Amino acid sequence: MRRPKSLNAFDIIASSLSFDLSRLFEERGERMHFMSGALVADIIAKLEEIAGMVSIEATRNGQKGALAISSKVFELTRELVMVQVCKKAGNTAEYRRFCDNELKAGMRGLVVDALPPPVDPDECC
Amino acid sequence: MMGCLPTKQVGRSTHSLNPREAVALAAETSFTVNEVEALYDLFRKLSNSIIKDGLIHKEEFHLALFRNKKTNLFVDRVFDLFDQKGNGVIEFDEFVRSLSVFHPDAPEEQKAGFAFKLYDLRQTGFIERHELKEMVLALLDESDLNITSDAVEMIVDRTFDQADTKGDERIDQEEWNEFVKNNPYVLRNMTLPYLKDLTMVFPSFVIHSEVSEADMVA
Repeated sequence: MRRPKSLNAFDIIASSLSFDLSRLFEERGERMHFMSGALVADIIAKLEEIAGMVSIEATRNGQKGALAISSKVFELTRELVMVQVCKKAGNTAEYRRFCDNELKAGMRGLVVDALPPPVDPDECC
Repeated sequence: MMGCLPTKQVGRSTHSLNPREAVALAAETSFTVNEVEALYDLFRKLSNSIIKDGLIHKEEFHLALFRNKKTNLFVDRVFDLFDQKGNGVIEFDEFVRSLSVFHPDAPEEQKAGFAFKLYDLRQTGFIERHELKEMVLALLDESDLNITSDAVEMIVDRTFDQADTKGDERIDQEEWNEFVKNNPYVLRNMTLPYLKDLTMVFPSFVIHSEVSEADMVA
Protein backbone atom coordinates (compact mmCIF):
# COMPACT_ATOMS: atom_id res chain seq x y z
CA MET A 1 0.00 0.00 0.00
CA ARG A 2 1.07 3.54 -0.62
CA ARG A 3 2.73 5.41 2.21
CA PRO A 4 0.54 8.17 3.61
CA LYS A 5 1.42 11.71 2.81
CA SER A 6 4.01 13.09 5.15
CA LEU A 7 3.10 16.26 7.01
CA ASN A 8 5.64 18.85 7.92
CA ALA A 9 5.34 21.43 10.67
CA PHE A 10 3.79 24.02 8.36
CA ASP A 11 1.13 21.53 7.27
CA ILE A 12 0.22 21.05 10.90
CA ILE A 13 0.00 24.79 11.42
CA ALA A 14 -2.08 25.15 8.27
CA SER A 15 -4.63 22.77 9.67
CA SER A 16 -5.11 25.09 12.62
CA LEU A 17 -8.72 25.82 13.19
CA SER A 18 -7.98 29.38 14.15
CA PHE A 19 -6.42 30.07 10.83
CA ASP A 20 -9.44 29.04 8.92
CA LEU A 21 -11.09 32.02 7.31
CA SER A 22 -13.87 29.81 6.00
CA ARG A 23 -15.49 30.47 9.36
CA LEU A 24 -16.26 33.94 8.10
CA PHE A 25 -18.48 32.39 5.48
CA GLU A 26 -19.88 29.11 6.61
CA GLU A 27 -20.41 26.74 9.45
CA ARG A 28 -17.32 24.92 10.49
CA GLY A 29 -16.90 21.63 8.68
CA GLU A 30 -17.34 18.60 10.82
CA ARG A 31 -13.87 17.24 11.28
CA MET A 32 -11.78 15.52 13.88
CA HIS A 33 -8.18 14.41 14.23
CA PHE A 34 -6.49 11.84 16.34
CA MET A 35 -3.01 10.40 16.69
CA SER A 36 -1.98 6.83 16.42
CA GLY A 37 1.21 4.81 16.57
CA ALA A 38 -0.39 1.84 14.88
CA LEU A 39 0.38 0.67 11.40
CA VAL A 40 -1.55 2.51 8.71
CA ALA A 41 -2.89 -0.74 7.36
CA ASP A 42 -4.30 -1.61 10.77
CA ILE A 43 -5.96 1.80 11.12
CA ILE A 44 -7.58 1.56 7.74
CA ALA A 45 -8.72 -1.98 8.36
CA LYS A 46 -10.24 -0.86 11.63
CA LEU A 47 -11.99 2.13 10.07
CA GLU A 48 -13.41 -0.09 7.39
CA GLU A 49 -14.58 -2.57 9.95
CA ILE A 50 -16.25 0.09 12.09
CA ALA A 51 -18.02 1.83 9.29
CA GLY A 52 -18.75 -1.39 7.49
CA MET A 53 -17.32 -0.39 4.15
CA VAL A 54 -14.49 -1.23 1.85
CA SER A 55 -13.05 2.12 0.94
CA ILE A 56 -11.94 5.08 2.99
CA GLU A 57 -14.50 7.33 1.46
CA ALA A 58 -17.63 5.62 2.57
CA THR A 59 -21.32 5.99 2.60
CA ARG A 60 -23.70 4.14 4.72
CA ASN A 61 -27.44 4.43 4.78
CA GLY A 62 -28.47 5.78 8.11
CA GLN A 63 -31.85 6.62 9.47
CA LYS A 64 -31.75 10.05 7.93
CA GLY A 65 -30.39 9.26 4.52
CA ALA A 66 -26.88 8.46 3.47
CA LEU A 67 -24.02 9.37 5.79
CA ALA A 68 -20.78 9.85 3.96
CA ILE A 69 -17.50 10.20 5.74
CA SER A 70 -14.02 10.53 4.47
CA SER A 71 -10.84 9.72 6.23
CA LYS A 72 -7.26 10.64 5.48
CA VAL A 73 -4.12 9.43 7.13
CA PHE A 74 -1.02 11.60 7.34
CA GLU A 75 2.42 10.66 8.54
CA LEU A 76 3.98 12.85 11.22
CA THR A 77 6.98 10.79 12.23
CA ARG A 78 8.03 7.23 11.61
CA GLU A 79 6.02 6.11 14.60
CA LEU A 80 3.13 8.51 14.52
CA VAL A 81 0.30 9.19 12.12
CA MET A 82 -2.54 11.63 12.24
CA VAL A 83 -5.95 10.46 11.15
CA GLN A 84 -8.46 12.99 9.94
CA VAL A 85 -12.09 12.05 9.76
CA CYS A 86 -14.70 14.35 8.34
CA LYS A 87 -18.28 14.29 7.35
CA LYS A 88 -18.86 14.62 3.64
CA ALA A 89 -22.63 14.43 3.59
CA GLY A 90 -25.50 13.45 5.74
CA ASN A 91 -27.15 14.37 8.96
CA THR A 92 -24.79 16.04 11.44
CA ALA A 93 -26.38 14.50 14.52
CA GLU A 94 -26.06 11.11 12.96
CA TYR A 95 -22.41 11.76 12.11
CA ARG A 96 -21.72 12.79 15.70
CA ARG A 97 -23.46 9.68 16.99
CA PHE A 98 -21.31 7.61 14.67
CA CYS A 99 -18.16 9.33 15.98
CA ASP A 100 -19.08 9.16 19.64
CA ASN A 101 -20.47 5.65 19.70
CA GLU A 102 -18.87 3.64 16.99
CA LEU A 103 -15.72 5.38 15.81
CA LYS A 104 -14.24 6.18 19.19
CA ALA A 105 -15.07 2.84 20.69
CA GLY A 106 -13.69 1.00 17.73
CA MET A 107 -10.48 3.02 17.49
CA ARG A 108 -9.71 2.95 21.19
CA GLY A 109 -7.02 0.33 20.96
CA LEU A 110 -5.16 2.14 18.20
CA VAL A 111 -5.24 5.69 19.45
CA VAL A 112 -2.54 7.49 21.42
CA ASP A 113 -3.97 8.67 24.72
CA ALA A 114 -7.49 10.10 24.70
CA LEU A 115 -9.48 11.03 21.67
CA PRO A 116 -10.46 14.67 21.43
CA PRO A 117 -13.55 15.68 23.36
CA PRO A 118 -16.80 15.99 21.42
CA VAL A 119 -17.13 19.23 19.53
CA ASP A 120 -19.16 21.87 21.27
CA PRO A 121 -22.44 21.94 19.31
CA ASP A 122 -22.68 25.73 19.70
CA GLU A 123 -19.35 26.11 18.00
CA CYS A 124 -20.41 24.30 14.90
CA CYS A 125 -23.30 26.11 13.34
CA MET B 1 -39.85 78.02 -0.93
CA MET B 2 -39.30 74.39 -0.01
CA GLY B 3 -39.53 71.34 -2.17
CA CYS B 4 -38.64 67.72 -2.14
CA LEU B 5 -35.98 66.25 -4.29
CA PRO B 6 -36.12 62.55 -4.99
CA THR B 7 -32.74 61.00 -4.33
CA LYS B 8 -31.24 57.66 -5.20
CA GLN B 9 -30.01 57.51 -1.64
CA VAL B 10 -33.44 56.86 -0.15
CA GLY B 11 -33.34 53.92 2.25
CA ARG B 12 -29.56 53.49 2.12
CA SER B 13 -27.40 53.62 5.19
CA THR B 14 -24.82 56.33 5.45
CA HIS B 15 -22.04 53.79 4.91
CA SER B 16 -22.98 52.44 1.52
CA LEU B 17 -20.74 51.10 -1.15
CA ASN B 18 -19.83 53.59 -3.79
CA PRO B 19 -20.36 51.92 -7.19
CA ARG B 20 -17.08 53.34 -8.46
CA GLU B 21 -15.27 51.84 -5.50
CA ALA B 22 -16.83 48.46 -6.28
CA VAL B 23 -15.67 48.63 -9.87
CA ALA B 24 -12.17 49.75 -8.83
CA LEU B 25 -11.80 46.96 -6.29
CA ALA B 26 -13.01 44.39 -8.80
CA ALA B 27 -10.41 45.61 -11.28
CA GLU B 28 -7.60 45.28 -8.71
CA THR B 29 -8.57 41.91 -7.30
CA SER B 30 -9.80 38.48 -8.39
CA PHE B 31 -13.40 39.39 -7.55
CA THR B 32 -16.20 40.45 -9.85
CA VAL B 33 -18.23 43.56 -9.10
CA ASN B 34 -21.14 41.44 -7.84
CA GLU B 35 -18.80 39.56 -5.56
CA VAL B 36 -17.41 42.81 -4.17
CA GLU B 37 -20.98 43.82 -3.40
CA ALA B 38 -21.62 40.47 -1.73
CA LEU B 39 -18.47 40.99 0.33
CA TYR B 40 -19.79 44.39 1.28
CA ASP B 41 -22.87 42.79 2.80
CA LEU B 42 -20.65 40.50 4.83
CA PHE B 43 -18.36 43.38 5.75
CA ARG B 44 -21.27 45.47 6.96
CA LYS B 45 -22.46 42.66 9.18
CA LEU B 46 -19.01 42.03 10.65
CA SER B 47 -18.08 45.68 11.05
CA ASN B 48 -21.21 46.51 13.00
CA SER B 49 -21.31 43.44 15.22
CA ILE B 50 -19.87 45.11 18.31
CA ILE B 51 -18.88 48.67 17.52
CA LYS B 52 -21.30 50.11 15.04
CA ASP B 53 -18.94 52.18 12.97
CA GLY B 54 -18.63 50.28 9.72
CA LEU B 55 -15.06 49.25 10.49
CA ILE B 56 -13.86 45.82 11.61
CA HIS B 57 -12.19 46.07 14.99
CA LYS B 58 -10.08 43.30 16.43
CA GLU B 59 -12.85 42.09 18.76
CA GLU B 60 -15.29 41.92 15.86
CA PHE B 61 -12.78 39.94 13.83
CA HIS B 62 -12.29 37.53 16.72
CA LEU B 63 -16.03 37.22 17.14
CA ALA B 64 -16.51 36.35 13.49
CA LEU B 65 -13.84 33.67 13.59
CA PHE B 66 -14.30 32.47 17.12
CA ARG B 67 -17.71 32.87 18.70
CA ASN B 68 -16.30 32.79 22.19
CA LYS B 69 -13.87 35.61 21.45
CA LYS B 70 -10.85 33.55 22.49
CA THR B 71 -7.59 35.33 21.77
CA ASN B 72 -5.35 33.33 19.57
CA LEU B 73 -1.90 33.53 18.03
CA PHE B 74 -3.03 33.32 14.43
CA VAL B 75 -6.15 35.40 14.56
CA ASP B 76 -4.05 38.33 15.74
CA ARG B 77 -1.51 37.85 12.96
CA VAL B 78 -4.22 37.56 10.34
CA PHE B 79 -5.91 40.70 11.63
CA ASP B 80 -2.66 42.62 11.45
CA LEU B 81 -2.10 41.48 7.89
CA PHE B 82 -5.60 42.48 6.84
CA ASP B 83 -5.05 45.86 8.48
CA GLN B 84 -2.70 46.97 5.71
CA LYS B 85 -2.66 50.60 6.78
CA GLY B 86 -1.89 49.54 10.35
CA ASN B 87 -4.47 51.84 11.91
CA GLY B 88 -6.03 49.16 14.12
CA VAL B 89 -9.15 48.55 12.05
CA ILE B 90 -9.95 46.71 8.85
CA GLU B 91 -11.60 48.94 6.28
CA PHE B 92 -13.59 47.62 3.38
CA ASP B 93 -10.91 48.00 0.74
CA GLU B 94 -8.39 46.23 3.00
CA PHE B 95 -10.95 43.49 3.58
CA VAL B 96 -11.46 42.90 -0.12
CA ARG B 97 -7.78 43.12 -1.07
CA SER B 98 -6.75 40.71 1.68
CA LEU B 99 -9.47 38.21 0.90
CA SER B 100 -8.47 38.37 -2.73
CA VAL B 101 -5.22 36.63 -1.79
CA PHE B 102 -7.34 33.63 -0.79
CA HIS B 103 -9.16 33.51 -4.10
CA PRO B 104 -8.42 30.35 -6.10
CA ASP B 105 -7.27 32.51 -9.02
CA ALA B 106 -4.87 34.61 -6.99
CA PRO B 107 -1.21 34.05 -7.96
CA GLU B 108 0.84 31.59 -5.89
CA GLU B 109 3.41 34.29 -5.14
CA GLN B 110 0.74 36.38 -3.42
CA LYS B 111 -0.32 33.42 -1.30
CA ALA B 112 3.27 32.49 -0.47
CA GLY B 113 4.02 36.11 0.45
CA PHE B 114 1.01 36.35 2.73
CA ALA B 115 1.81 33.06 4.44
CA PHE B 116 5.42 34.08 5.02
CA LYS B 117 4.35 37.33 6.66
CA LEU B 118 1.82 35.40 8.72
CA TYR B 119 4.39 32.98 10.06
CA ASP B 120 7.02 35.66 10.63
CA LEU B 121 5.50 36.23 14.05
CA ARG B 122 7.72 39.06 15.16
CA GLN B 123 8.08 40.60 11.72
CA THR B 124 11.83 40.27 11.59
CA GLY B 125 11.75 39.26 7.93
CA PHE B 126 12.66 35.70 8.88
CA ILE B 127 10.97 32.64 10.33
CA GLU B 128 13.10 31.41 13.18
CA ARG B 129 13.21 27.86 14.50
CA HIS B 130 11.72 28.78 17.85
CA GLU B 131 8.87 30.65 16.13
CA LEU B 132 8.04 27.54 14.13
CA LYS B 133 8.04 25.48 17.29
CA GLU B 134 5.89 28.08 19.04
CA MET B 135 3.28 27.92 16.29
CA VAL B 136 3.16 24.14 16.26
CA LEU B 137 2.76 24.04 20.02
CA ALA B 138 0.00 26.67 19.88
CA LEU B 139 -1.86 24.65 17.31
CA LEU B 140 -1.52 21.44 19.28
CA ASP B 141 -2.61 23.25 22.39
CA GLU B 142 -5.85 24.51 20.88
CA SER B 143 -6.77 21.24 19.27
CA ASP B 144 -6.25 18.83 22.18
CA LEU B 145 -4.02 16.72 20.01
CA ASN B 146 -1.51 14.70 21.91
CA ILE B 147 2.03 14.62 20.61
CA THR B 148 5.05 14.11 22.81
CA SER B 149 7.53 16.95 22.93
CA ASP B 150 10.09 14.62 21.36
CA ALA B 151 7.85 14.12 18.37
CA VAL B 152 7.26 17.86 18.14
CA GLU B 153 11.03 18.49 18.19
CA MET B 154 11.54 15.93 15.49
CA ILE B 155 8.85 17.35 13.24
CA VAL B 156 9.96 20.95 13.72
CA ASP B 157 13.64 20.14 13.20
CA ARG B 158 12.99 18.05 10.13
CA THR B 159 10.85 20.77 8.56
CA PHE B 160 13.19 23.57 9.50
CA ASP B 161 16.28 21.82 8.22
CA GLN B 162 14.53 21.12 4.96
CA ALA B 163 13.57 24.76 4.50
CA ASP B 164 16.73 26.43 5.83
CA THR B 165 18.92 25.57 2.87
CA LYS B 166 21.38 28.35 3.66
CA GLY B 167 21.84 26.87 7.13
CA ASP B 168 21.74 30.19 8.94
CA GLU B 169 19.13 29.10 11.46
CA ARG B 170 16.36 31.13 9.90
CA ILE B 171 14.07 30.87 6.90
CA ASP B 172 14.10 33.91 4.65
CA GLN B 173 11.63 34.80 1.92
CA GLU B 174 13.73 33.17 -0.78
CA GLU B 175 14.10 29.90 1.10
CA TRP B 176 10.38 30.00 1.86
CA ASN B 177 9.44 30.40 -1.80
CA GLU B 178 11.61 27.42 -2.67
CA PHE B 179 10.15 25.37 0.17
CA VAL B 180 6.62 26.16 -0.92
CA LYS B 181 7.39 25.12 -4.49
CA ASN B 182 8.48 21.74 -3.19
CA ASN B 183 5.65 21.46 -0.68
CA PRO B 184 2.61 23.10 -2.26
CA TYR B 185 0.31 21.46 0.28
CA VAL B 186 1.67 23.93 2.82
CA LEU B 187 -0.33 26.72 1.18
CA ARG B 188 -3.62 24.91 1.11
CA ASN B 189 -5.18 27.10 3.79
CA MET B 190 -4.36 30.14 1.67
CA THR B 191 -7.19 29.27 -0.70
CA LEU B 192 -10.89 29.47 0.02
CA PRO B 193 -12.49 27.64 -2.92
CA TYR B 194 -15.95 29.15 -2.61
CA LEU B 195 -14.58 32.68 -3.04
CA LYS B 196 -14.65 31.85 -6.70
CA ASP B 197 -18.41 31.80 -6.94
CA LEU B 198 -19.36 33.82 -3.92
CA THR B 199 -22.69 35.01 -5.19
CA MET B 200 -23.80 31.58 -6.28
CA VAL B 201 -22.65 29.63 -3.27
CA PHE B 202 -24.34 31.99 -0.86
CA PRO B 203 -27.80 32.84 -2.10
CA SER B 204 -28.40 34.64 1.16
CA PHE B 205 -26.16 37.39 -0.18
CA VAL B 206 -28.94 39.32 -1.85
CA ILE B 207 -27.54 41.26 -4.73
CA HIS B 208 -28.75 44.80 -4.82
CA SER B 209 -26.58 45.88 -7.62
CA GLU B 210 -26.00 49.58 -7.38
CA VAL B 211 -23.69 49.52 -10.32
CA SER B 212 -25.24 50.62 -13.54
CA GLU B 213 -23.97 49.83 -17.01
CA ALA B 214 -22.60 53.35 -17.26
CA ASP B 215 -20.41 52.84 -14.23
CA MET B 216 -18.93 49.69 -15.72
CA VAL B 217 -17.39 51.49 -18.66
CA ALA B 218 -13.67 51.84 -18.04
